[in-house]
Amino acid sequence: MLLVVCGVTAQGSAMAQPVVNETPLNAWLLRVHQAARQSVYTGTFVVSSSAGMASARIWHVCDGAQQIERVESLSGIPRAIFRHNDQVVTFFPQSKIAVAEVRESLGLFPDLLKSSDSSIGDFYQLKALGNERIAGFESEVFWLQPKDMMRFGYRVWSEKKTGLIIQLQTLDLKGKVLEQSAFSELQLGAVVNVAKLTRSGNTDGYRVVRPDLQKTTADAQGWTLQKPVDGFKPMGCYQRPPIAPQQGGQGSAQNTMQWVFSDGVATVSLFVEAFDGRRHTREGSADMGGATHTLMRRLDNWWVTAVGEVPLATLSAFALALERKK
Amino acid sequence: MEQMNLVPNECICDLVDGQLISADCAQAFDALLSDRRAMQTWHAYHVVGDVLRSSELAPSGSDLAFLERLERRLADEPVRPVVIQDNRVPVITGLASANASVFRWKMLAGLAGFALVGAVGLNLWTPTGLQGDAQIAVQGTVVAPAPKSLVAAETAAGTMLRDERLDELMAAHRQLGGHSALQVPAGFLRNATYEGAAR
Repeated sequence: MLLVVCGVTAQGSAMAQPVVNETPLNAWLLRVHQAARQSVYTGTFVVSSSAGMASARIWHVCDGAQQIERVESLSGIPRAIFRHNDQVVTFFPQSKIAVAEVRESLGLFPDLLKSSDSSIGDFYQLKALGNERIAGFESEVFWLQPKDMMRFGYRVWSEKKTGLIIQLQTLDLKGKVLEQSAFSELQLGAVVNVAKLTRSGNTDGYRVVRPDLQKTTADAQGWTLQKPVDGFKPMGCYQRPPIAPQQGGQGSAQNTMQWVFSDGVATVSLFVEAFDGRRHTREGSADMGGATHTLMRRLDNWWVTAVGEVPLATLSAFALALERKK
Repeated sequence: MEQMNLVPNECICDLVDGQLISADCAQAFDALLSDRRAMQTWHAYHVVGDVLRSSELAPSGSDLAFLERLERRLADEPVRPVVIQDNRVPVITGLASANASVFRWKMLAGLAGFALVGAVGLNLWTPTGLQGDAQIAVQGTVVAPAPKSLVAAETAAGTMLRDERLDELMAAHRQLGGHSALQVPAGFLRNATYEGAAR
């Protein structure tokens, strides 16, 4: 591919060890998180579920606090995602459009893990399942087991020396695999031409589009949760402007609110938009396959769509708890 | 008082599982053949094994008698009118599945077929229906004609009706929903690998 050899090595060993909220689970989460930040690797990543399969080629380098990553899709619409820390640009070479956005969530960890606010250990427990060889690497297998029925479990293969996650399975409440993400091929410590990788984030020749996403609060939008859902904390609230129908899409005539919640591992988005009888015809859940579930509900003059990598009961708890402020 | 088996059940179990080596095996067989209760246990263990593998392998005598009566009764039934095949409804042919002969699956397939015919009929009758497109089971509380935003998509799980607006919201969720300690690399790469198609 595009890469030319130059010499970049992992900076991991030189990094200062942070003070950790010392639970085995938090320490382990921090280790796998740091491994991803401090490792240099290239590989092929495959996501598979009953909804289908998608694969991408990955290049990841780090230089101190700087993270640079390129993800090139090998399936679906041709696209390349360039990430520099929390700045993400998605290139669509066919339409010559580049979507530039900031992913605040990418900068959130590991600070949350280090803080006393982390309650992941209240809702998940970690169990070691032994060793396995994956993608040519010796790995330790762990089971991130939920303590209640409100979240899925995860089976995680973590590379033995670095802790890098090389395979991840999302398990339903009966332990059935809903989705698997894995490196089918991985080169840890690969030499990557950083200058060339950085240049691949250049948007010259592309029309740059910046999604008009406004930060807001649920309170300001007139919404509240009459009862919190166990373990899930609000992470942010955004307002999306009306979406013009494009590329066969339906669009939306009104603003859409997106209220994001997380228990530290799983994420739920609550979308609220004005009810439109022509479009909003099906209440209930739609099984799209994979780990992401959806639930739709009419609430007076509003239409609520809950989306998340959680059981339907959890989405239902969110949808039912949502309340219009008087 | 109930007579105890001369051959211990553990020994019969090992025999069924092929765990006994030759000398023990021959001895156990001799004892088994001389003990009627042990023979019943031997048979029961085989039935248990068969049921665990497949309920089809373990029909009992009464089941077979019932089937014979049923077949005789069906043969006495008057000839039913023939349903003419509607060419607009696709006929799916293929190899029989492993559970093809299990009645409850056939019943389920029958219900699904009924739902499909109902859905096709609804689309033919309703002007706004999405004619010609396949239908999926949507666990909804409201049954409504499919709006134009629904498109059929082929997935590993079969044909799926996709709501484009829902796809847009799922993409938005993946875009902002990476609040996970497992997100890097697995979460971000998962979303990056998945999300582009919905844009």
